[in-house]
Amino acid sequence: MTAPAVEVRDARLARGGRPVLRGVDLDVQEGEVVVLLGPSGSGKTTLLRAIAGLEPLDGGSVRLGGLPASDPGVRVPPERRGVGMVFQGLALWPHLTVKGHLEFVLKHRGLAATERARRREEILRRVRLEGMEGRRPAELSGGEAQRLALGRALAGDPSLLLLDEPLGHVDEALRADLALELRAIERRTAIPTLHVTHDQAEGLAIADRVAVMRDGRIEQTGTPEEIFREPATPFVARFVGKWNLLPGILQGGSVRTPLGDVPAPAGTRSRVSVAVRPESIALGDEGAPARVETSAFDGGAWMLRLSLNGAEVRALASRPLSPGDTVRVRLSGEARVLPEEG
Amino acid sequence: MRAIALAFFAIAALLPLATVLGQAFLVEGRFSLANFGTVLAEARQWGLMRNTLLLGLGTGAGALLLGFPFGFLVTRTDLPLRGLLATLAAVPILLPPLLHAIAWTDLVPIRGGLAAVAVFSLSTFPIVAVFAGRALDRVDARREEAALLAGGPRARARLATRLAAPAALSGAILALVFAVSDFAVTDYLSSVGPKFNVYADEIFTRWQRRGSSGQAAAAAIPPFLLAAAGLLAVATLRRRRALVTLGGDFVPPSPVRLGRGRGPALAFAVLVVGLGAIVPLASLARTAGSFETVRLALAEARLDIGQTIGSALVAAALAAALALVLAHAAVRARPLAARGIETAALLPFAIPAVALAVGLIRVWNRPGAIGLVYETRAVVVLALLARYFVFPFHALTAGLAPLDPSLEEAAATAGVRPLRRFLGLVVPLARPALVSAFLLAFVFAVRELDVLVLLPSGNRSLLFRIYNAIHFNRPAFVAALSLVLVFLTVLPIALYRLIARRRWEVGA
Repeated sequence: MTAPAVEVRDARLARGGRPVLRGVDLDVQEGEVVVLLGPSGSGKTTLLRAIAGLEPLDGGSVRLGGLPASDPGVRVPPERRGVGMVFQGLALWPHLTVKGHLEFVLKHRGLAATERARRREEILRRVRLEGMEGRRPAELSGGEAQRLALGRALAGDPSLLLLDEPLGHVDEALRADLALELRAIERRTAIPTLHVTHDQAEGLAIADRVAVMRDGRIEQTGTPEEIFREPATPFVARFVGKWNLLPGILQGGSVRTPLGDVPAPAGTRSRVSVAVRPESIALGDEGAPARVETSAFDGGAWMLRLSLNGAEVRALASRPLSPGDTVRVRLSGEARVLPEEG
Repeated sequence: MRAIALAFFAIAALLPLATVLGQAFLVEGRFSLANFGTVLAEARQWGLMRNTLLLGLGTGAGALLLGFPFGFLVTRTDLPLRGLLATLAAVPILLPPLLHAIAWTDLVPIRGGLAAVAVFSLSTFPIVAVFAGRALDRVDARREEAALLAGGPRARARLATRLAAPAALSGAILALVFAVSDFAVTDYLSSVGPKFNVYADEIFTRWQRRGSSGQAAAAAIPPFLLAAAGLLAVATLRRRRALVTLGGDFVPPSPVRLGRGRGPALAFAVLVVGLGAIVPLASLARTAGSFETVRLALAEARLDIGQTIGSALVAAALAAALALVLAHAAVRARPLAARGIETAALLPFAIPAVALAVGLIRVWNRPGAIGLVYETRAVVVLALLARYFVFPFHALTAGLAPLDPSLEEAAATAGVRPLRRFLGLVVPLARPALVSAFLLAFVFAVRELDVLVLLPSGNRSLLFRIYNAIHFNRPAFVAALSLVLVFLTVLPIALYRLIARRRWEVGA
């Protein structure tokens, strides 16, 4: 069996006495694109940098292709780990052209000039920057700059790609297109990739597997669909799927919530959180009364923020409502019973 | 590479410093506090302490009073002729303080402590002006506009002053250090009339006339502690530069309209530049008398000029290269290690220059191969490097600080090795700061006297020749050579500004 491209075990790191990584375990298999999703400050970038060898771990280990890279007593320097990295903000070299970026990396590998030129052409084609060899970073669009950063990472012939918020600098309007383009390039190269983002849409669009991080720990891993549809914790539900979280109390075989009763799965504790999507809340003549706090157009519908028995709930409406209006709401779709938020 | 640079710096600069400090505690090769007993027991020590403090604090205050408003006027306002005034304001710092003193005493019979304070204030105010001007220029326009909306022009001025104050204060402290470590100005101004002795003179006297390195070293301790405390304060203030915006999302501030204040403001700026640059230069030209005097002086001191330029070029190149490696190490190191490197870089400048020379003599004046360093101009290069290393180091830490570490990390993860990362990324990206660092080191090296005055191989330097000629009462020769020295320091700066501007215009 092939060793995973990267294996992180019990990675721990503190900065100024504050724990940033609290025992992270993570694998990326050959050919797999794993997205590390989490809010700012959750430790995603630190984990990526530790894998690249840019941050020393306080404890735990990193193995790359089955070989130790960070272990007690072993610390392989970044330039010998065989990883390519795209940095947040891209970190392009302002004094070098597109060609200069690739040459700078290719030269250190001791390749002959003809082989370098062949590799350069290949990379330029792969990241669709042909004809732009003479341009400097300041003369590139956001998408071109992002592709150059990726091309530079590929020039080192890496066995693992690490992408740290590679679309962070791109306008919202361009981001979805570029995310798809990035996925296409990642597929073409077939290099295992660990991709960090705080943007759920970007993460879910790109990943084979998603790992959600919070406070230096991985909270849940799974396919994008599993993470989106079956959040394991209130945090994942709120962060990834924009679920409403309602307090629930076990009573008999069901969980009582402000929206009504929900069947309780086996082993449910007395106090739980119940996750409900906005689209699973119906507005009508029946159900619990709720007061409209705000109403904002959200593309296809109006997103209402409602006050329901002291809990805040988001629901969708087909028309705008005024703050202060009273509506009746009931559960009309799926609800997930989760452990109470700690 | 870092280890080699650190080792070289330790041998070139820290070893002489440690040696001279150690001398203070040695009598006949054994640990003793007797040197302090001898030096400090004398009643005149309190006078030296008082005079040194007066000179340092007076210079710091004077440089601040002249430099802060001047820096503000030429960088942040619509003052007429501000470009020209800013350029001319470089002259006072390029002119050695001793030449300021000579030029002024040729015009007016000023002597004593107040004269020394005035000379050093006029000589060092550009440091404050440049520091304050740069900081004021890096106050984000939106911060100022927020203050303007909250409390009008006064609130905006208060905010800008508050944000630029650490930089201005740093400049004032550097001015103080320059003043307390200089012996030639007070020596010259005390040569006639009332004496105004300071510690720097005392070190010179103890070494030169009494031949006691232990007592000279003991006399160097008080000004060293004063200057080191000041320079450590500067380092702390530099770390607090986050008050102004260093890079990234930055909107440059708009110029402040002076309105009816333009006239008085222009008068003030012209007066400051006049007193600091034009009057001394005019005075020297008047004393020199004619171009023929300058030509003759040039011919007579040709060898000294050549050696001065040669030593300064080698010392500046070495200092800039060494400073680049150590500044890079400092900006990439963890805070504690960075502070260690910064402290090591500034300490050799804190010791009065003549005391540093004593340290250099003790280290290199030995029989055998080591003695070759002392017998050749190598010791001059080392002396200049040790004395002024802190300036290229600071220029380069300032130049490297805004460079995102991820630029180098990107190369590291792509497999590029450290030396190639340094040569291929750090060196080209730091090129403007590297040129500034080289020029700073070169200019200070050309105008140096104090550290060379005790070194026999340093006696063929231009300022030493001038210093000697003063004692042989050759005022026209002194003035003519002073003009040559001014030309040597102003020329590279002017050329650099010209080239940099042309490149900017072509780039634009």
